[in-house]
Amino acid sequence: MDKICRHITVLLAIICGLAPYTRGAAIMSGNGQTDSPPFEIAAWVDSQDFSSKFDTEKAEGVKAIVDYVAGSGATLMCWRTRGGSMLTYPSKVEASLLPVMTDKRRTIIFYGPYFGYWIHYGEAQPDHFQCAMEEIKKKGIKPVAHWTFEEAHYAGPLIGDFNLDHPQYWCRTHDGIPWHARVSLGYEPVMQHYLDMAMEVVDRGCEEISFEFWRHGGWNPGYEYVEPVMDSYRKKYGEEPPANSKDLRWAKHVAGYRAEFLRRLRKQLAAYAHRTGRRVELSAAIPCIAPFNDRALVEYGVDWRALVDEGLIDTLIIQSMTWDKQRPLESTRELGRSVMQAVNGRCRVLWPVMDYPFTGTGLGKYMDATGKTQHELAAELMQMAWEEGADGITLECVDYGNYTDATLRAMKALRETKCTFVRKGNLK
Amino acid sequence: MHVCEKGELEVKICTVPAFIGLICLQCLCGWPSAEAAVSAKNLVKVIRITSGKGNDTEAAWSPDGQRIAFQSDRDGRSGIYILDLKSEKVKRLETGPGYSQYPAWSPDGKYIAYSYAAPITKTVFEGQVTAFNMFIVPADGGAPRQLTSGNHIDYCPTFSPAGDYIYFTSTRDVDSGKEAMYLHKVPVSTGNVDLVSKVHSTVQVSFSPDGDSYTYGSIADYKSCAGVFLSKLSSNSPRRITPAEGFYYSPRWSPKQDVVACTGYRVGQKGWGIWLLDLADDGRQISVTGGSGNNRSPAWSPDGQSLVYECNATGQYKLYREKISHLLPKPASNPAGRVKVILSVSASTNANLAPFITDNDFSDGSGWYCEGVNQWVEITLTSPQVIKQVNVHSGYLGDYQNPSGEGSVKGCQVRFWDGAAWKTLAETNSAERYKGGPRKDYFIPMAFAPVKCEKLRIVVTESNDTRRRISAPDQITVPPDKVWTCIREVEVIGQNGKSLL
Repeated sequence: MDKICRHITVLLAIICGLAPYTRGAAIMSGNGQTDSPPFEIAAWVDSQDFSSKFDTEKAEGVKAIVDYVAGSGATLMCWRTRGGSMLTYPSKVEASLLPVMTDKRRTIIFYGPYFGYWIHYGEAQPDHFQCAMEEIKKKGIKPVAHWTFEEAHYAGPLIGDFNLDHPQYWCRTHDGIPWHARVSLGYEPVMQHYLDMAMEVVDRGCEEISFEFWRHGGWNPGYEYVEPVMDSYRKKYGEEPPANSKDLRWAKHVAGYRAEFLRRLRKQLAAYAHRTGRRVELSAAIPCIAPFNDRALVEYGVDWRALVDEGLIDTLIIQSMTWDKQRPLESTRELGRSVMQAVNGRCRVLWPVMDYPFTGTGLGKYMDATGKTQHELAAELMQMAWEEGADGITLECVDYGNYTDATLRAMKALRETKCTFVRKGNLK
Repeated sequence: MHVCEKGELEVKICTVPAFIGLICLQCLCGWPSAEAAVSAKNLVKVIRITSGKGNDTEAAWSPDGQRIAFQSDRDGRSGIYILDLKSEKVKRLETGPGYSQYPAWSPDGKYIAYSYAAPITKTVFEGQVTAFNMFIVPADGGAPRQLTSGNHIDYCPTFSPAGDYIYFTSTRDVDSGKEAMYLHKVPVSTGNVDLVSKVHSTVQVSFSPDGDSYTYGSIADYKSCAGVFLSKLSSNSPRRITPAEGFYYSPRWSPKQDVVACTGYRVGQKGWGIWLLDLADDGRQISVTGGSGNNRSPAWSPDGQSLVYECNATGQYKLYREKISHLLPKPASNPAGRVKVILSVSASTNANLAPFITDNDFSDGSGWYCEGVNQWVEITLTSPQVIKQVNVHSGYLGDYQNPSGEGSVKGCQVRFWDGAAWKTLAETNSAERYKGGPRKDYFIPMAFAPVKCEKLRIVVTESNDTRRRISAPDQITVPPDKVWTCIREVEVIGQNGKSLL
């Protein structure tokens, strides 16, 4: 009897696991197209950016965010797992905010009476992240964990407890100065810690983990002069690691540890899928990906080509491309096309329709360069991605009101008409 | 051998031979360090004094030496507990239903000061405010009394040596959105909170036995390592006493001599350790603990011969007591030696930032800046010294490795006070900066004929920059009298070629 029950459980799990992948099929059958997957709109969400609008510590606030972001026509919602290293759920391997507010090793950012002090995730709302995954799923949208390597993105107060409790794993500069804000993946316990955190978000219902390499708190390969990383370099190349951390061989060597993390996570997820029937995908968002140079490698410590070559990611997200100000849209098309050609169908590719100005390549800059409105540009960029055979677009990030209502409507309308499915066979 | 522990507060004094004790200790705790263990004469005396569930941290030894106050989450939210060393009993002080942290004893042993936040009953959106404020409670139990209020983070209290004030770290007087904590004080009787020092991030003050100086931990920003600083109470002129290559915090001044115990990490260590800093010997470091686990937040016994600290060798943090008399340096014959050279640092403008140019931290973001030219910083030495060179390190953080970096000095003068007037020792107006030294950064070396002086000034006469400041919104070109120039560090070289500061 037990055996039968187990079989039924596994069967149900497999059916549930396949559920998200029936989204496209359902749309396809409605439109009579059966040979193309859905064209995705991946909306990035940092729930803390909604904290002045909705009560994000409660389920109703989370639902309100999901409802709002769904207005973009999003088919994926990529929800941040953390603010800094403070996780938005009661983690077993990292501390939540409150107990560490007065840690003597941290500086404090004081936000004054309005915000009190940041947000008390883990106290008022017991599991904000899981709640978000459930709400997203209810809408028929794919729930994705947006994983940044940021740790110190919001500076001192949010450095993880794991970091502070393990100074022996801290990153170090070539001069031997330790950096308490980051631990190195070169140490096995750190690797295991990251894997544990990844599995925590999987357990909370995400169907994809989307790794982002831009928000990494100022880290770069120049902080990886720690024994295990240096020793493996010596072993591999028979010489001392270079003092110049922008040395390509060193940067690639360091990037190898992130690839190793994804490799091990992928293996772990395969075992998880075998056990539960739930398949969880991996994606990687790469900043400054084109024109092709070594920026992503030496500044962000990620070798995206290696990730694609080895099949470690299901989706490559173009986080930003450095387009030509004289030919904004034309050069964007060329750059995006060059990425498509490099990937050559080995994984999905999402193009950016980014609002955020950090990289100087977002919608605001396009507006400056072209004189067009935000909604005109968003529609053009989305259509351009579709025309070039991309698998979708990514919106970084949907906050309250930063993509105007007109923009959200324009993207949604395009998604429901012309850009419902991926356009195949038009790689140029 | 004097080491052993067993179960909840069942402290045993073992009489077995030393080697058995050591084996027992190493098996249980991974202690002691081999270095300390090999000498039969200097046997380590470590006793675990708390056990059970939860983390026991932030110990403070009562002035009569009979009790230990500490913070624990053994019952859920952090609370304050008192361990009676004789009876080995632990009792929880009634400090309120919220979060109580950082106990500190009054000098007469009658009161405990602590930091307290009310329980969270609603969300931030609904108006929840998570303020930590200062309270005191009778050490034998009784009603807590609130000393500070308002939406601030007040923490790490310390009684003044006279017991009339509580000094504490607070986000008061910090602009919203800024990342800093300043030193404040409040009378124990009644009265208002006063700002004591706006020195960046002054955390956990501990007074010298004579009460005229204090030490504290400070972290400039998330890129820098925290360090332990010393300051005179009268001048608030801090000086870093731990190296930039390590991370040090949580200092406690010995009640008996010029030795500071602190938590620290140096590359190569297996985790946090307890360090002694010999102030009479330029902060020379003496390692107290080693082995597995983190060892943190030391507190002195009243006789200055033992420490109590927290360690997680068994998983959770528990309190341990260790006799360290064999490690202590002989008391300095000259107590004034603890602040060896600098008496004070002042400036024509932004005087509160001036002490950062002598904090001996070249990698942090600290420094002094001025608007326009002919502004100066002045260093007063404790006694006349022969000097022959001053190295001026300038420019904003992140740009000091750039020969013509933003905010760097182009023209400057070194002057000294000859008792009647300021005399110029050296001057320059070259945009070139010399690269070298152990930090491989750029600086202006200003050499001159050796001179004995007690007071010197560095005067900015021209900037390499044309802009006002580094942050992007204000990165605008301005007239020379509005340009901001930043001196990050100054080295004063003595007759023997070594840095005095």
